[in-house]
Amino acid sequence: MVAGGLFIYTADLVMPQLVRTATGLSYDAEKHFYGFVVDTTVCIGCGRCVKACREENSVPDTFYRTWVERFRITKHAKVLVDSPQGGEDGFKPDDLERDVEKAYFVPKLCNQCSQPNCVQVCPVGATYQTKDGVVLIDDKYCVGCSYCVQACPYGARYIDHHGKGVADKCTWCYHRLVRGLSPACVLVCPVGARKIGNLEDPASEVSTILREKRVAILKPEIGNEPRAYYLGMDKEVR
Amino acid sequence: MWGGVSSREEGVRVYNSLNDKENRVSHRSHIVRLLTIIGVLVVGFVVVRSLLIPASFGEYGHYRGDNVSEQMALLPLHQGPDLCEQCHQEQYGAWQDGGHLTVTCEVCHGHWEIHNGNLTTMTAVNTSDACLLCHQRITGRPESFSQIAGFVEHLEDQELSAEDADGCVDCHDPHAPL
Repeated sequence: MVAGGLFIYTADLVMPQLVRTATGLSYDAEKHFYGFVVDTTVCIGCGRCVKACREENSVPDTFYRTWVERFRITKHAKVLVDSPQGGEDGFKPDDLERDVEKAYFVPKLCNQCSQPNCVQVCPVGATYQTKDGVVLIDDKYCVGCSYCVQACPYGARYIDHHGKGVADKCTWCYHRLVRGLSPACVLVCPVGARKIGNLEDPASEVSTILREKRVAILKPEIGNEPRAYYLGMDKEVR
Repeated sequence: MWGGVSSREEGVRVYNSLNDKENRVSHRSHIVRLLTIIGVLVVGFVVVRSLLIPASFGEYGHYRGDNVSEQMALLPLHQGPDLCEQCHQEQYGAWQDGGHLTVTCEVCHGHWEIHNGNLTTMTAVNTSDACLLCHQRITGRPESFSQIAGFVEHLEDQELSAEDADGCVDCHDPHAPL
């Protein structure tokens, strides 16, 4: 048995089929408040997170709910940032290596800010913050005005012009969180560079990291209070 | 404007007749008409508003409360390795002991839903490209992470010839590569 689902064995198949339903979900949003930790010191830029996210959330081509950026700082202090296809197909070796003094990968995703600009600017109440701190978009209520896309300082949002024409973004896989599962990107990360945890629970891995390690947030000067915390983040990263 | 009133007496008579009950102009009908129009507008606004705004709007805040349960109802596609173990104990065991524990099944095999209830759609990326996605030496990877310059270079390092192996899996068990 799996939470919220059941196995049905059919006569001619040895393989169990998991018939999954949304019924019987017991989830108390009051007892959760999520935080995300990205460890830039271990990320290898394989892009499995980007691929898993695309599949899990049916993200249309050319749009990204999460992506991986590579920062290369040359001998002349020039900062080169690239993210080919959001890093989904990995990064290729390049001929710049001789000039590069420092290089690292920075995965990006929605920061689920505590003071979200996007929610404030939405004219129709289509984007909102849940009690457990995740910013969601009501695709039936969004009018696709893209104010939120412009308001987000992190470029986390896009308008799906090929689909419903409404705004969309990373939800930290909210449908998985409420089932006690990790987001798809966290599940597939082969080096544990992405971690999610309940900040209400002081024993959770993320709470422990925030308490004991040195973390940074993106663009703190904007005052959004993002809740994606970066370990080992360099000053060049925006 | 006072045409027909030729004397003071007649003026007083006209004035008094205006104040008679039966001759007085009724102001009440104007007020009633105005209040009726306002009432219809207010009721119309409330009715139209209630039709346009979903019942759950404002349940938790300035948004449609039902959307939270709609989002929760989306079904996860990735399920994690525990579910795979139920049928693939052999591979699961090898993976558990093989030093590649952080790479879960769905990283190479695709998400669970592809395979759900369908034996024929077991997928695997078993080309060397899949290995090199993580293990090729690329600017930006942490030095401590095990990397090779490329498949051919790795063969040379291991003092092997091109005939010895076509791909990584000829030497490395994909479930227990170490």
